[in-house]
Amino acid sequence: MSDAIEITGLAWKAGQSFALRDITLRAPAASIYGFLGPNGSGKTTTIRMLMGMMKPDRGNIRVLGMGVPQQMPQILARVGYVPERPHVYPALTVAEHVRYHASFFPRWDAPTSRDLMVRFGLDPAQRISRLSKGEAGKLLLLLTLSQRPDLLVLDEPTDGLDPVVRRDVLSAVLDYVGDAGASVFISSHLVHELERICDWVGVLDGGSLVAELPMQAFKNGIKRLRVAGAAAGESASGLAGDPGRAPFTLLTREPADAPASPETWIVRGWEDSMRAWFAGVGLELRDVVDLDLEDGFVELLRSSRPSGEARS
Amino acid sequence: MYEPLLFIHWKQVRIALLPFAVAAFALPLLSIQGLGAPPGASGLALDAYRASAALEIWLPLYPTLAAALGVTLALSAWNWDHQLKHVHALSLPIPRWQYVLRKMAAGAALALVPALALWAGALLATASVSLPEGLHAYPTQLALRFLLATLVAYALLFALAAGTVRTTTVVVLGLTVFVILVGLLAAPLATLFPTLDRVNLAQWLMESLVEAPGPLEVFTGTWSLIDV
Amino acid sequence: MSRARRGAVAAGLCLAAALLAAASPLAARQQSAAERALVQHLDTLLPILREARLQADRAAAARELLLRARPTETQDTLAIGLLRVVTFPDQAHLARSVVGGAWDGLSGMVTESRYLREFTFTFHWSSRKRTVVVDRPYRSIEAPVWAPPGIIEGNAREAIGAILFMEMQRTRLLQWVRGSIRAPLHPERVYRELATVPSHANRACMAGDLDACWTALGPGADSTRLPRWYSPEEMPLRVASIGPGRWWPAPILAARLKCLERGSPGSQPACARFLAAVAPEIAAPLGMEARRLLLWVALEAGGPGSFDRLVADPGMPTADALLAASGLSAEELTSRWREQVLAARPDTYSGLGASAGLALFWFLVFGALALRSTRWRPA
Repeated sequence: MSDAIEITGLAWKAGQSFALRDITLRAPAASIYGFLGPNGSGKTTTIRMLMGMMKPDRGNIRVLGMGVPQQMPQILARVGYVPERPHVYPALTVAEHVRYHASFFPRWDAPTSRDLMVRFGLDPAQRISRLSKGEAGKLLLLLTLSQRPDLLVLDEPTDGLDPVVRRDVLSAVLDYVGDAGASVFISSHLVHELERICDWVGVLDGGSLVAELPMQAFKNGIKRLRVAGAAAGESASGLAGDPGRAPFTLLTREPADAPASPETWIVRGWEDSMRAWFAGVGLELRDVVDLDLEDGFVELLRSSRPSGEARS
Repeated sequence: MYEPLLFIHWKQVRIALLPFAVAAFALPLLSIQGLGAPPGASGLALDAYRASAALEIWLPLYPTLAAALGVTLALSAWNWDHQLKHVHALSLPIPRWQYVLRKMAAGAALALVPALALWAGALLATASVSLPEGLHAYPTQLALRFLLATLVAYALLFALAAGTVRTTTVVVLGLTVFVILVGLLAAPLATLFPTLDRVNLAQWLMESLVEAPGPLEVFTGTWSLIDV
Repeated sequence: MSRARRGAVAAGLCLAAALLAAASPLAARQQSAAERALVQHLDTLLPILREARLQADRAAAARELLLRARPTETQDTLAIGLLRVVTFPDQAHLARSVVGGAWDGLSGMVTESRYLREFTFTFHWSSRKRTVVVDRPYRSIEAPVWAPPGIIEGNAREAIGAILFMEMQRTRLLQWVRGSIRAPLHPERVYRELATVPSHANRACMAGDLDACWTALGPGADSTRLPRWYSPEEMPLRVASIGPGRWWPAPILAARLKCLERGSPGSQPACARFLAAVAPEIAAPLGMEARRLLLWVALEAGGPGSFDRLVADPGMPTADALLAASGLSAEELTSRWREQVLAARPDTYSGLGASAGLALFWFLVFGALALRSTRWRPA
């Protein structure tokens, strides 16, 4: 099996304000796929469609090689889902909910459940309505990991959690992945959180997938260049937007502070071998600066929006 | 997978179920209060006329209790799911229809608790009085009718509550509009079509509901604990 | 004005005057003695009034006949036992079937009846356009187009019984039983009455005391009947169950109110006064349906000519007439009546089986509708 999740041409519209537009996405098996995007970009909606809870207007979804929603029971038996908001019954105790949840999953791992209960410091007799946000998040992860899923779908699992709990949660996820070889599809708007754990990144903005690439390429491929000699009036596309002319993608171009100063270019898909291209077009590349993931993410989003300076 | 749903429903409704069970148990006992001497006691036996007249006062309470119980069970069945927008239920690895079926069966099983309480109360009540010649006690039949009425009310509300908010709104609004239209248009229609004059649509609607084979027929039958 | 009509008007005026005078509180205070006398005589006036009304009806029917157009459509006259039935040729077969069926139940009991011979029965499907026309006193048998033959036969039985009842108007039986001469339609009501009316006579009858049954039915009623019907404790309960009549004289209403003030001085005698004052058929622990059943049991038991014997002697006391008709002793007759009453015990929950099936059906229907609950939830 090549892809844990395969989304093709997904489209959905809610009134005039929001729409998912032709999303095509592939999360490879045995990978951790970070689904990045700002708030309101459509991450949760996409995940709900992935879990068969919302009906897309158009498009196909396959999870673990099975069709959504036709094979949902089989899919859900192998997928652990942590929704954006806690979805557990508040009047039950922790132990009652674990017992209730376990009865639906044939691969339920009771020892793992007990271990995680201890590891997370959860009191089995505690009523769920009295759990703190962090404890509720841990409980959700306990329920999900004890299912022994082949795929974890985590919708902002660490949102609102303190750093300690966040680390506990991510650590438990990584341990499970290392142990079971499962795939993970994790959404977040906190880029640095995913920086260290993801193999792949998909960036969603305004209902469109603006980038999908290996994390390594994402981290290394976005650079800030200091370029001298470019005419101020020349369009970015004229310089580098045409794939036939430029070997990289110019995301944004900031004009020089003074006539003699160099311009700042933010580019994607940069490799050192591309330095020679500047001399060929009469420009001077003075400096190449690495961007951290968050800066790269921000620049990527700026470039994808209509008001941005440049479009890729 | 049935027991967990039964457990969940029980957890939700147990606080409401207890008063229903107590009321169901107490109703037959209350209805025969002061009506007769205990078995074997000398003196006047339960006066038949007084008994039947006094029992009649309590009769409407049985179907009312059954309807209220059915509604409570149905709404409690879906309460938590609605609150959580069904996310947990829809993330369980069973087909939706199986989940709904088991949930419905769980509620139906819980309806047995007050019905059994009523049965016990009715047995106790009828055993505590000596019936005069000609009168008979119907504790089992009364409890059975109570259970059936509860199940019908439960199923009706369960089906309504099972739908999406949109479906429920459409059904409830549709019925309301129909009833209002029937009321408003009855007179003009009767003028236009004289043959309709003999057909009272509102009455027809009501009779269709409460008379056989209507769904609420079980509510309109006999609810006597003691009768001839 | 015919003699019959004059009689009807006189009797009507007499009754109306009595009732109006009795209903006036002022008059009640001033003329209570006279009213009491009037009330006591009301029962004796009623048969005269009925006879007068009957004569008036006959006169009106004859007048109507003169006014109506002559029949233009061919009609058949059928002879069924003592009955003469006029109908349309195309409905003669049905008429013979349903009227014949109704007559079969009576034919053994009645060998001769002046009224049955005098009246003609008309039979046709209810219609404004086609009406059977006869030139003598008649009684229509209702035949709605929607009704199955069983219902029409019941209507025929009712019509024949109503004419037959006229034979009883000159007898003392009229004081005791009224209505059509037919099998009671609701014997289960008699059981309910026997079981629930607060009367020690009824209770004893239910337990098997035939003498108590006879007493409760009241064919041999005399001035001692009240204590034999009700104990002092039962009287207020019985009075409470008898609603105030619209035309009751003030003294009777006052007695009822006093009786219902249970425990107050004078309430007990008021109960007895009330029960003695209202008509015996109202005060009795068993009502008209029970008495009609006894009459029918007597006629059935008596076999051929039983009805003839019942009305043979207009002066014969009710009890004797019943025994003469049945050919049985009072004990035997009451025993048969009681057996029929006990056999007619209503099954209180008789419909529960069907209700249960229906309830389970709807439970499943609503359950099936609930199964359509969709996956598409959070939006």
